[in-house]
Amino acid sequence: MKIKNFSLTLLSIVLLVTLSVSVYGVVYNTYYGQALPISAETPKVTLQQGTAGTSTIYMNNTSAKVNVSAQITTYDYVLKVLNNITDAWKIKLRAYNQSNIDRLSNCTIYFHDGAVSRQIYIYNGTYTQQYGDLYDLVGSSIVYIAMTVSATDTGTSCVYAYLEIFVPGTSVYNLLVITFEIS
Amino acid sequence: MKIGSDRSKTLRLLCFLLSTLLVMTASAAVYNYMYLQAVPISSKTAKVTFANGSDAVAAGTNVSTSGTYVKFNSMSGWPNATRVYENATVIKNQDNVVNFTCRLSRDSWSGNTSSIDELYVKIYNATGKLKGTLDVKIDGNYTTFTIPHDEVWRVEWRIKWSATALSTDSISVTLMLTVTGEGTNE
Repeated sequence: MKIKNFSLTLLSIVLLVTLSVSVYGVVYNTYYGQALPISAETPKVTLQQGTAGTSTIYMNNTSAKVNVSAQITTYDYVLKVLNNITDAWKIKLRAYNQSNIDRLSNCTIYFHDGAVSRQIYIYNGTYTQQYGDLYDLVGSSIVYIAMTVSATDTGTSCVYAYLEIFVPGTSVYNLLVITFEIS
Repeated sequence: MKIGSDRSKTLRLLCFLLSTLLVMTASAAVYNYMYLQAVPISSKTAKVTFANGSDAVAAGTNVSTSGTYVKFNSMSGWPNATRVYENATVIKNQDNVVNFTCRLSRDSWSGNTSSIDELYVKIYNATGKLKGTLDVKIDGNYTTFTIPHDEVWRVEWRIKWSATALSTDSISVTLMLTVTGEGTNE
């Protein structure tokens, strides 16, 4: 009899707790956020082939692959960054991945259009600098990407980088993928 | 005599049927009134609200007066490149005691959705820590997070159009934020 009473009491408690939780849980509000529209637009900053090394520009000129050999030390320039509008931007390079960079005694990737800005620097197989300072890409202008490389060993190394293109005064930016392949 | 007997039987049967009908009708008419009253249903200020983020101008962010609806009307991207709006809007918990659990999901999307390579909505707390990611491309995907009282969290959009996207392509997206517990004990 005692066990029966205990079981009934326990069941009642469980049911009451469940009821209160359920009642609380069903009180909610629904909010909406609408993006109308998200559009695709013609790229305002594009990449173009350089005069040194071999560069491949992909569809819409918004990504590229650069091939250079460590047998030659300086490649000026491997790519051009074109601002196709009169508005200014801020740009920088950021390495986000890599392979087999141990063999690189030096890999320096930099911008220039007069002033030089080092953006990525690998020294003795490790990053000393993985991204650069913001660099001005003024309206309707060109910035050049150049490299110096040397290696201690044969093989192929890759540095995967984003060209980050910022709208000045905001935290809105575009990421263009550039792959640097050093054989 | 036989005719009289038949008539009598018919009358009795008729009486029986009428009685049955009466009983049935009477039974059907037995009911009770019960009332449900909502007195009052009041309009309250929302505790969790949207507000403009620092990229509101670039994203074309419009927040409703009540802060419970937000629209972005000028987000875009370039083909084969990722566009990031780090702070298109913020979510505020204006209660000074209660932490609210939120669930963010896609309600609908339309347009040239097959030309979208990536579309993420990410939630970051006040210290910049990632607290939730919604992959808008995946049907049924959602993210849940609990926003502590008195905190303001930012909402980031990451958009990547495919390499073959045309400059005429566009999509429309509606997201749903469900805030649980708000309105309890008010």
